[in-house]
This record gives sequence, C-alpha cells and structure tokens, in this order.
Amino acid sequence: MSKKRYWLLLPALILVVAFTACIQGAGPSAATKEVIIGTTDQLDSLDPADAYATHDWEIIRNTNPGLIVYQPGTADMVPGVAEGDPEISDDGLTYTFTISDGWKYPDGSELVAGDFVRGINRSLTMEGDVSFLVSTYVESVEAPDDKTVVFHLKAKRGDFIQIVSATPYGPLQEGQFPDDELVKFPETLSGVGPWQLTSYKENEQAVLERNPNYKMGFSESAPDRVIIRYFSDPTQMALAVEKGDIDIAWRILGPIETARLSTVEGLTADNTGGGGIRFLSINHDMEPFTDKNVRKALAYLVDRDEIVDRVMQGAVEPLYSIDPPGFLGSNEAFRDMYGGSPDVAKAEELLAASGYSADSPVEFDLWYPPEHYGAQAAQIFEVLKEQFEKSSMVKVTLQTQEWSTYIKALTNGEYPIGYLGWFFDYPDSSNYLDPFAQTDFAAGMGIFYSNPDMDQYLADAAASTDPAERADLYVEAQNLFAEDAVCIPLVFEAEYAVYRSDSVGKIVIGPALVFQYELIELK
Amino acid sequence: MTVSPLAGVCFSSLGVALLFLLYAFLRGSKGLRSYIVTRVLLTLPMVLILVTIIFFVMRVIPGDPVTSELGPRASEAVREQMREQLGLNQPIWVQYFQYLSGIVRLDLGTSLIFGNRPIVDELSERLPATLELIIPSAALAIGLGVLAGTFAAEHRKQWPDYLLRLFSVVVYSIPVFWLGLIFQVTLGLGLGIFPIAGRIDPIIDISLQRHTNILIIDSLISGNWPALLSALHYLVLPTLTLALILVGVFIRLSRINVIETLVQDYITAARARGILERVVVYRHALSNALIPVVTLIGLQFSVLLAGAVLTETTFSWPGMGQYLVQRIGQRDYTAVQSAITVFAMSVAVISMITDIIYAFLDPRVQY
Amino acid sequence: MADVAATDSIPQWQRDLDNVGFVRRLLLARKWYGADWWFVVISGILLLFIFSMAFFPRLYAPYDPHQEVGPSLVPPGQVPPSFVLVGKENGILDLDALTEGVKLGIVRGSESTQVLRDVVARREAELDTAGQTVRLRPQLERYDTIEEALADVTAGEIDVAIGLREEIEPLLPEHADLVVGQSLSGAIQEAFMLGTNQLGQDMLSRVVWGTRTALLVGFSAAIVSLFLGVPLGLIAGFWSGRLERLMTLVMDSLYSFPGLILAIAITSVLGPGIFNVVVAIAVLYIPTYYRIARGQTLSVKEELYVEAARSLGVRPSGILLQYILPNVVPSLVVIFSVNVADAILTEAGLSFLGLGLPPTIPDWGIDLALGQNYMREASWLITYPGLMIMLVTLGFSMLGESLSEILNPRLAES
Repeated sequence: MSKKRYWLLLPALILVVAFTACIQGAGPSAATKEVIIGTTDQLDSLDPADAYATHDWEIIRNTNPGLIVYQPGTADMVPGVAEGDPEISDDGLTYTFTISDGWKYPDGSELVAGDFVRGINRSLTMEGDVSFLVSTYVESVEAPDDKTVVFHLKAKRGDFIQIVSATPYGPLQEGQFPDDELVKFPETLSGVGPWQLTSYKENEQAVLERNPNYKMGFSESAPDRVIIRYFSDPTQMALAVEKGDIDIAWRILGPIETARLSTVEGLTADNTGGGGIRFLSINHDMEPFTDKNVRKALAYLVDRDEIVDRVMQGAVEPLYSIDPPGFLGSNEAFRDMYGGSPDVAKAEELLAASGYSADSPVEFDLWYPPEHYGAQAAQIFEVLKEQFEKSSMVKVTLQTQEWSTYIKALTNGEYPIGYLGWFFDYPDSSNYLDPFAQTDFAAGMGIFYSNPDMDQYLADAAASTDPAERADLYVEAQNLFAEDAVCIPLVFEAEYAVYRSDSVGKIVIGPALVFQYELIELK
Repeated sequence: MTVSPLAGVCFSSLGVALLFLLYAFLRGSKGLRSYIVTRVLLTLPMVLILVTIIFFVMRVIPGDPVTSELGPRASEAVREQMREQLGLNQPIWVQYFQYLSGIVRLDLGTSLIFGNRPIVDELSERLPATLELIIPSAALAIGLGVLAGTFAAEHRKQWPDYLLRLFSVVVYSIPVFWLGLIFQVTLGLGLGIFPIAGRIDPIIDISLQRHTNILIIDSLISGNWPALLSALHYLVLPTLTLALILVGVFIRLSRINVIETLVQDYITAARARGILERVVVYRHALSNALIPVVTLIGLQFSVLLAGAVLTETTFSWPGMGQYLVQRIGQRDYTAVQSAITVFAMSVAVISMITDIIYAFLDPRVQY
Repeated sequence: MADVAATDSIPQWQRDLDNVGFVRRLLLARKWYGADWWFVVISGILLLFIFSMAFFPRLYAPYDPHQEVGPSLVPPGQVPPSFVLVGKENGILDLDALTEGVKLGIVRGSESTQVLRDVVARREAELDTAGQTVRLRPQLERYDTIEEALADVTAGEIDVAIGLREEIEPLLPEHADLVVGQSLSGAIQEAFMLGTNQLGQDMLSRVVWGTRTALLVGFSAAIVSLFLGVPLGLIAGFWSGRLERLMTLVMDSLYSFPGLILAIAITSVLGPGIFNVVVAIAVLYIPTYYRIARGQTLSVKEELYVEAARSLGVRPSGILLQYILPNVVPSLVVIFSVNVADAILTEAGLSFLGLGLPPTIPDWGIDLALGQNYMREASWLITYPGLMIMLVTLGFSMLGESLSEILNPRLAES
C-alpha cells in the first residue's frame, strides 16, 4: 500500500523539479557567441541543383557564395568569388569569369574553377526544381584552367550578371553531393562561404558554425554560431522574440505582427526594403477568362486601398504594376488604365458587352492557399469577393487548397484564377515580366498568355544591354500587360525582421532578402 | 545492419510488454493464462482492421498522388517511374500486402515530398518527442485526478464533491489550443518564467547527444544536467495544458469507481468494524478502485493522443501530431498513412497491455 | 469522450418514478438528487439560451456577421472615433471635393480609412440617387504619423489630410496655412459590445452566428452517428453470429482510435466543408452508440418478458422496438449530450488546424485561428469565441455528467 502512495508523489516531484528548473533558468554558456534566429519557414531542399525556396537559398548563400553576389544590404551586384566583372564576348554569348585567390573550404582545400562547372552541370542534368534557371540561359560551361569559368549562352542576355547570382550557379566541392542523385537533406553542408551547416533537425533547429578558412574573416562582434529555430506559426515566433527566447524573428513574421512588435520596447524592426508582390494569376485558357473583357472588368472592380487599409492595416503597399517600384522602367500601368479606385460602371459596361447581365452573371471559382501567403489570406479573399460582387454581374465562389497541392494545380492551369506571390530570383524587371507574360514561361505558370508583341518587347529588352532602351521596352511591356489584363497586381508586401536590441546591435538583410549571418553585430 | 531509433523504441517497449506478459502468464491462474492468450490474439485483428481502414481511406483520395506531385504535364515516363517508386503501378491488393509486409518489417517507405528520407527515420524522431510530452501529462493528470476523485467520493454530495465535479466538467470543456495560447501569453510572456515554444534551449541542445530523442532520458544518460533542467523547463507549459484537459476525466472516473467500491460489502464490513472513514476510503476503497482506473488509462490514451496533436501544434513541439498536421498540409500521403498507422498500433498495444494488467490485478475479472 | 459509465441493466429509478406524473416527478427529483438536479437545471437553462441564439440569431446579433460595421479592432465598449479633414484654407476641405486625383494623406493603420470608405460610399449613393455620378475616390498617400502628413500638405505634396481632431489641433500652430475642414464619422456611432474584428465586423454578431454553426455541426454529427450506430448495435446484439463478431471487432478498433486524428485523416481526404466535417465527426461516434445499444440488447434480450413476448410470436423487429429500444434510451440521452459537446470541441480543433470549415462561415474555431494573430493587441478576438466554445461544451457535458449521475443505478445511494 505504501508503495502505491509513493508513486502518487511523482507528479508533485515533477512539478518541484520543473520549478527549480524555472528558477535556475537556462543561462547560455558564455564561451561562444550565439545568435538565435526564428523562422516559420521550413527547409525544402538543400541540394543547390534542386532548392528553389527563399529559406533554402538563404542557407545555401551563407555556406556558398557565387561568382557574383549582392552588395550587402542592397540589390546591387558585386563580384563575389569572381575577381571582377566578367569579360563578355562581342556577340554577347560568352562570359568569362576569373576566380580570385584564397577561397577555401572548411577542410582547407582550395576552390577551383572546376567546382563551378561541377555545380552548374549538376544543375543542368539533375532536373531539380531550379534547373530551368540554368538550362533556359546556359548552353554549356567550362573551366579551361583552375581560375577561369567560361559560360556559353543560348541567346544574348542583358541581365546575365544578375542571373549568375542565383544559387544553382554556385560552386560544388567534390564529394559534397553525388553526381547522379538529388540529396535534399545532406548531413552537413559546406562551401567557401562564412558558414557551414553542421546539424539540421526538422521543425526544431539548424546549426551553422563558422568556416575557419573563410576568406573575408569575421568581425569582432560577429556570432560564432548561428542557430535557426523553426516555429509552427508566426504568433509563437512573435511571442518568443518578445520574451527573449530568440534574438531575431525573421521570415515570415507578417506585416501586422511586425507593426505591433515595433512598438514594443527593446525590439527593433528592420525593414528589408525587399519583399514579395501579390497578384491574381489568371488562366487565359479557361472560361470565362478567355474573354479579355472579363479580365478587364475584374481589374476595374479591385479596390487595392481597401485590402491595404482594411485587411492589412496599412502594413503593405498597393501595387499597380507587375513590375514593382524600384525596378528598371517600373510604372503604375494599372492605375493609369483602370484608375486608383474601383469603377463598377465601367466594369459592367465591359461585362454587358460580353453578354453578361445581372441575371446571367459571370461565375468563377477564385482560389487561394489558406496559410502560405500569411495569416490574412482568408480575409483578403473575403474582401475581394465582396469587391467583385459589388457588381451584380459577377458571382464568385471562394476555394482553398493547401499550398503544395495548390501551387501545382495553379501552375498546371487547373484553376481559372488564383492568388500568387512572387519574389525575384535575380533582381531585374525581366524576372517580374518574363515569368507571367512571355509565352513559354506563362504557360509554365498556368497563365497561358501569348501575345507576339509582348514576346518581342521582352526578347528585345532581355537582349539589350542599354539600360535606357530596356527601361522603355519594359514600360511598353507593362502597359500592354495592363491593357490585356494578363494578371491583376494587388499589393506589395515588404519583409521585416525584428530583433532584440539588448543582444543584437545590427543586422544586414537588404531588398534581395539575403540575410548574411556573418554581418550580424552582437552586443 | 543499422537499427533505426524507432525500431529500437518499438522493440524495447514490445520487449517490456512481452516480459510482463510472460510474468503474468507464469504467475497467473489458468483462467488468466487463457485470457492473456485470447487478448493477445484479439489485438492482431484489431491492428489489422485499423491498418486496413487507414489504407483504404487513404486510397479514396480524390486525385492521384502522382499527378498532384508531378502535375498533369509531366511525361508519361516520369510518371511511370514515380508510380513504380511508390508501388502505385501494382494492383491494389498487391499494394495492400506490400504495405502490410512493410509494417511488419518496420519499413514504411520513403516520404513522397522529401525524397530521400525514410519515413521510419522521421517517425523515430517524432514518436519519442510525443512520448516525452504525453507520459508526464498522463502521470500528472492521473495522479491529481485520482486524488481529487477519491476526495470527491469521500465527500459525496457535499460541496467539495460538487466543486470538483464542476471543475472536471469545466476543464474538459476548454479547447486545448485556446488554453495553450492563454498559458503562453500569461505564464510564458506575462510572468516570463516559461519558454513559449520548443523542446529545449537551442544553445544547450547543441551540447546534447541524442540517443533516444527523449530528451530527459538522453540528458540523464549523458549526465548533462543543464540539458535536463532545460528540457523540464520547456516541458512545463505543454504538460500543464495537456494534463489540465485530461484531469477532469480522471477525477470523474476515479470518483465513480471509488463510490461504487464504497457501497460494496467488504467496505460495509470494514465500516462496521469501526475503522475510521478516512482509512476506509483511502486504504480499502481507493486501492480497489484504482484497479479499474488502469483500464481507463488505456481508454484515455486515445484522448491523450488527440489532445497531443493540438498541444504540439500550439507549442511547436516536434512530435507525431505536428508531423501529421504538417504532412497533411503537404499532401505527403505515404507519411500521413504511416503516422496514422503508428498511432493505431500504439493505441491497440496500449489497450491490450492495460486490459491484461487489469485482469492480472483484479482477481474478480471474469475471463 | 470515452465516458460511457454504462448502465447495463434496467435502471431501478425508472420503475420507481413510473408511479408519479411527469412534472411532479421533475420537481420531486430535486429532493432526491440534490445538486445534480441543479446542475441539470442550470445546464438546461444555459442550453436553452444557446439554442435560442442558434435559432434566432437576429434577436441577439445587432449586425450581419459579414458586414463591415466599423473600423478594425475597435475594443469592446468603445465608440469608433470621428475624423476631420485638414487642408489649406482655400483648398479642399469637404467630402464632395474628394474626387479622383485628389491626394489625401492618411495615417497608416488608422481607423480613418474605414470612416472615409464609409462616408464616401454613402455620399456616392446619395449623389447617385440624385442623378449625379460622381466618384469621390481620392488617391491615398500613407504616412506613419499625422505630423508627416500635415507637413506634406503644407509643402503642397498632397491636397488634404485626415486625422483625429484632438491630434491635429495641437499641431495647427506650426502649420499656419492649414485649417480644419469637414468632420467625417462612420455610419455606426455606438459602441460594439464585444468589439470588432480585424475586418471591422462585429464580434458579438459573429459569436452569435457561430453558435448556429457549432450546434449544426455538433447535432448533425451526433444524430448521424446515433441513427447509424444504434440500429447496428441493436441488430448485432439481437442476432449474434460471425458477422456480428467481425463488426464488433471493427467497432472496438475504431472506438479505441483517437477521435481527432481519425477526423483529421478523413477531412484531409474529403477536404474542408461543413458536410465533410459532419461526416468525419459522425464516424467517430458510431462505435459508441453501437457498443451501448449492443450491450443493452444482449442483457435485455435474456429477460423474462422478452422471452415471453418472443414465445407469444411477436416479430423480432417488434421485440427490438417495443421491448429493447426503450431500455437503451436513457443511456443514449447521456451519450448524445456528451457527444454533441465533444463534436463541437472536435470541430473547433479541426477548424483551428485549417482542416475544418471554409473560412467564410462564421465559426468559433476559425475566428480563433484567425484571431490568434492579433491576440496581443486585440485579446477580445480570441477571448469570446473561446469562451463560447467552452460554454456550449460545458452546457452539454454538465447535462450529460449530471444525467449519468442521476441515471446510473450503480451510483444509487445505499
């Protein structure tokens, strides 16, 4: 009997131990300087020939910089591993990069040009998710000697320097990845960059240690170790940074949570200046959107200000062109063409011209993923439905689907109209227009828009190396984009990081959303 | 051959169960022996039925997993390759038997999304995390619930009884995730004494060698005391949340059991002998009433698991529940199917073991 | 809920109470059952209140749950503020001048935008009926503070700004050329009892309409499983055989399986939607009813009066309906009540995980899931839906708990 009573004490014991645990706290050891970064992202793949998600790229870029990199905190291109700008042949088809000295892997071996060839060829042959970013532009790549990388392009590109900054163009040490197989989750990941990934536990944390042989060295206040902590939702992450469980809350905090946290004492919000555009992606192959009048009617009915102010509490910006502000030639084509506010009369005029009326309204399913684009997606679409149905000639049915299924179905053209976000792979207007308006790419996105004039503008702009000429062409392209109502741009959502002022002095992210961990200044 | 941790956990727990069965089998009466045999034999079809239901439910998914993964424009060769990889090119009954034999061999295939990770490895990281959450929660809920329930029974039809019963109904009615959020804001952020989410301090985590992935055990094995304290510290809020939801059920069930025992003859006899009421309640009645509570643990195990799904999501706890919810979001059907299978098997085994313990402890059970 | 403190034999209390009239019986019961009687009465009143909300939401809800009634996140009991236009003396100072192309400065995240949308829409409608089609849609420029906006008005960057009078007036001395113009306020100038949500919808109305959703799901699920589980159980108990044994095994397996996880699996296959959620939850409770009905049937069918009826040639269906079913009913009432409570909790959990209802339906689980993003600045978004889930569940489970206490013969006072 006494035995039985004894085990009843167990819970009490647990409580006591737990309580002592609280009092003692879990103080960090002082020997090494750690920084803990929270994220709600997940790693999808760490294989550079496959990885095509922002968080994946962030880890890969921190372990392995490319020939061309971003000037920290900006979207400008500067030579990274390359010694300087490439030599470009007269026909614009051959780019020759020279590698600078002193880049070493953590094991001490020296970077050679062949590592780039290995990495890029692997991207070309493996057919990973990101392969198109190489195979579209690059015919072949070679390394005549250990210091020289030569690219042969399929066609002239005015923006190839930007394209080379993408992660599939990075070097690959021999033996890091097998030649014939994609390995999404290697045990460790290293390169010539400042960091090496030493452990990754899904939904728990990833640990990055310094590369002792990093060419550029580390500043006095740089962290010794970076821990990335994975959260299942932004609310928990916000609470954790507010409480001090983590030092930095990074993607994807969401604009509204950021706005609140920035008013909390001891927290600093860092506006990266970069972010994603959000738009309605329209399938031109599916009824009723084969009809240009219907697309234009929707463009007339959308009220971006209401989405910005009512749903997002002013934390995002209205977007009037698929090419966001700050990029070459960016304008406000949709405001110029459809006005800054909804115009039901004009929309109904167009719909009536196509034979729709209040009795036989245009009906369609409007799709969105419930979580992927932030917690407010459901509310944005509740409001969008209201806006479209301000006209009695429109009848909208909202549909949701989980992200992974959603994105495949949308890009396969299974939905008539859906929500899509975009962040550039390389910082150029071409990366905002080509994917949605160029015939081949648009088909791959499930948009199926095709207009020879548009293709011509885009091809000319890509091949040109004169910025003024390119800017003019992109203005033309944007106007045509609005005129054809290819897609309907909605808002621009800036990305923020929030850090604790008591432990972190400064972080450098920049509009390209490249978070360079070695530039974190700890206090 | 490398044995995955999940296999380790499974085999060792099965081993313990087998030892117990053997012990009960040898010590028990003839009737008990045949009961054990029947009960064990009955568990197999139960597992089989659950596993079959899961298999066929997952097969009626609208749409083909291959299309949902590759898209309709993928070439036929690529599709065929993927179908082959998933075994979907076989007739359904072949798939079914392959699935069954996979379960027996503890080979659940590889994840549909995360190509090169065997699901068994993934689950072997997740299952221990869930165990680490539910075992202390269950212990806390049972301990407090039985004590409070007995107390209520002792004071039946007096205010402590009514208060405790009211309490038990109220806590049962609280949505788990809501309670978790409130704890995070008040105890976590407000008082600042408990961490918001996760299993262990990120920095201490680096120093901890994980063998079983039950962090308390790992830190005990390696003598890593900061890790032990940190793991316990992180455990408090999720455990409290889950235990509070469950405690009501245990208060109610043990109260009923004690009351039922109290009206029995031997208790009346004890009372007649002039034994103190408190002694009667806590010694004679409770000890007998505890026996059926064992079976209740078996039944409540499923409530515990369901609560764990929501608790894990609320506290970013990387256990089975969070895994299940995440993989459903990613349409990773092989992973979902496997996770549910593991849930089903653990439920079946737990209920078998508790039934046998009950039979072993209570001589009145008729076999 | 696995609690089925089963009543295996004919409850004694039934026979005792057979001798008095119904109403008298209810009142008399108070003396016999003490606080349990009160529990039943209290939960009954609570449930009546909740039912009236579900059936007549318009009595309680002041507004349509989807309608934008005021600014976002107005705290409970607070009246939405009014705003004033401020611009240059001879510039744009009233609503009718806010035509397209006019640049209007607002403060980011301020309630002024809703008020502006509201008054502009009303004025446009007025003008429309008067035969004028004027679009009063200024181009918005967003500022972090009202000071920045005023500075830009002074500098001529924008035509007019909108802000709170008490914020603007202290700043006016610095901007000599600016004057306060027309005052604008939203259509609804009264406090919202439970505040507004992130879309400016009335929380009280959403909570009230959510009752209907919760009860709809809870009851449909419990009724579906009742009508499937009980007949199956009765039949299985009455005709024993191989099929019955197999079915019992299937039911036992399902019964032991964690409900929410099964529901998650089923909704993940079926997709979100009110019907799918009902199906998923109903499946969970079929075994409960099956077990009870079968157990009761097994014990009752051996009773003498059943034997007698059988020997008198009453058909099996007659025996089942006339002699066996009535004995099952008391336990069914208890289980039904507990099941509805459990179904509501499960539905809230599913919706919270994003696997339940589509987000356009007013539902507590969805409101909680969406509201948790605002829980620090607008705690009322999660307080009230959570409390409602708790109250409804409490009503049903308290009823079930007390009824089982009253109905359970093994707990009868010795």
